Amino acid sequence: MIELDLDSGESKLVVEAVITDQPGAHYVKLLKSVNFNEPIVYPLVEDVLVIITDNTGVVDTLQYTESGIYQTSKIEGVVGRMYDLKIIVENKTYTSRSVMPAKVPLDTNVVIDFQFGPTLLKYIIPVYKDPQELGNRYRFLLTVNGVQDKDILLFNDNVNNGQYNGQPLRSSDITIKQGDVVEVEMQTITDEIYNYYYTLNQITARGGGGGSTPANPPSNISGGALGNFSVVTTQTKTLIIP
Amino acid sequence: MLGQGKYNVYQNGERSETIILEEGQLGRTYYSIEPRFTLNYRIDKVQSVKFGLARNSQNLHLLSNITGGSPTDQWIGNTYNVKPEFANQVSLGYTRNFKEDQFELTLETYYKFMENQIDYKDYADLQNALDLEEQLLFGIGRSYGVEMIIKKKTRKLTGWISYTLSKTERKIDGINEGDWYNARQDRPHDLSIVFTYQINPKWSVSGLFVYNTGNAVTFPVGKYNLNGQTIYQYSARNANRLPDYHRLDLSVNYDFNKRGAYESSLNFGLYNVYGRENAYTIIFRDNPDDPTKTEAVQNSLFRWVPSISYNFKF
Repeated sequence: MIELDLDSGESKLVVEAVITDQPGAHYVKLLKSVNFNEPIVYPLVEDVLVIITDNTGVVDTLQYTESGIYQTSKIEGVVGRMYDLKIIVENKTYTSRSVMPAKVPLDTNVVIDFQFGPTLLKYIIPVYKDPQELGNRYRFLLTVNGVQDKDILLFNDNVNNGQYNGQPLRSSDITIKQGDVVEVEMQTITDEIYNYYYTLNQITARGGGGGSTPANPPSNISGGALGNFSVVTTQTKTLIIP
Repeated sequence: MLGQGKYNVYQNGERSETIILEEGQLGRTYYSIEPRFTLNYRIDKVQSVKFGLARNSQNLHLLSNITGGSPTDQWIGNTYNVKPEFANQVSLGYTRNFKEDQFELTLETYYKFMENQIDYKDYADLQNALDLEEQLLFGIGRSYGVEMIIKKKTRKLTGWISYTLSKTERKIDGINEGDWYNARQDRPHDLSIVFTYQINPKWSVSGLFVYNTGNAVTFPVGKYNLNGQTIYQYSARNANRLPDYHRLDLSVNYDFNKRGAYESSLNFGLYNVYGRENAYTIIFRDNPDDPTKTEAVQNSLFRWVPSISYNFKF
């Protein structure tokens, strides 16, 4: 291990803003990035102005709670509705706009066995029918026995548009075994969010470089913030691995 | 290009066309001319100046990844997308000898303008990409600098000291917001010292010292948390540096007596005399013992390498 003389990175605003189609409250979490050599203690951005409006005329000024988290009180997540996010920190304004994508029902989850040498691997296939229109984007999040899977699992409909999904969820983080309790969360996401997580996967999957050219993932927030504004639909199904 | 095969054409990283060549069919071809012009002018017995113009082409291209991780260098030939790289160079030099040709000093300055430069686009996926060319972007480059060499050519101590101060950059749409950025091989400082000292007709000592600025790479400069995970923050392409590289090698040489046409010598050498751990790769990770910290881990290849060699001529 060495002490590298890394440049002091410009401390930037980090935005984790989420609106789902589930009942509120929805949230925006704000913090600041720190230098690489510093301990993982992120400065919270407290008591700033965070406003979300939608195209039906609802204006919601978010209330600060704690740990950098601001909550909505009026905004509802509805498919097809457009949302504008505005954050003002130290006289700088950050904005983002997103439309909630169509929801696609997750019918069921199927478990398949895969013999890999001496080990029997188990994979989950989320069964859903992709809509006829091209351009659907999906993100899956697994929680296995209460532990969140760290891999970024993304599907698109570039090759199987309009068909039932047959692709298994292949996590490089968690191995699923018989008897595990697995929560499968399926999100439909926008193209921008898909690109965000796809590129994030490129730069983190192999230990922060080695296989790809690193850069910050393309944020859908203007003004130079890190992070993103995720307007998603979500549904969760729990299963016990047979 | 010579068929058969299927060749994709990309514009700004998006596929625009696919060309199918039959077996033996000739596809895209490139012609280049490489004019060169040099002018030498002898001012007097000990001084001269040199002026040069040159255009060179390169048809094999090195693709270098820019992280501190395992360097994944690969070579690619010309294709529909990858065009010959051109370098147009102008140079001006001055040479002077001192003390009856015992010393020679050369100063040279150059400027190079380069066309059809190649680099990976941001987030280029080198492991899963079906077609590597889809991951490339093209632009221009420039390089300029001054070189100084002092040679000592006679008597017991011979050798040279050379030092180069230079800058090599690229400008490619889609990388670094279209601004100039460091090429990976940009090494502002490059110094080498080479000497041989003849102690007596049998014994001599030689040494080599090299020093250069570390390669330009893209390292994380910061970090943040999103959805419960640590994510690294980057600043700009190749804006960071590997640690400086330096090393000293020494060797001792013994010449045996000549036996007719048969000459032989024995050489004892030590590579990297002071055991400098030069960086080969650097990776970034969460500290396994303290999850509140992240760390940079450097790997080096060799420290000391001793050698013995026996040379003969007949």
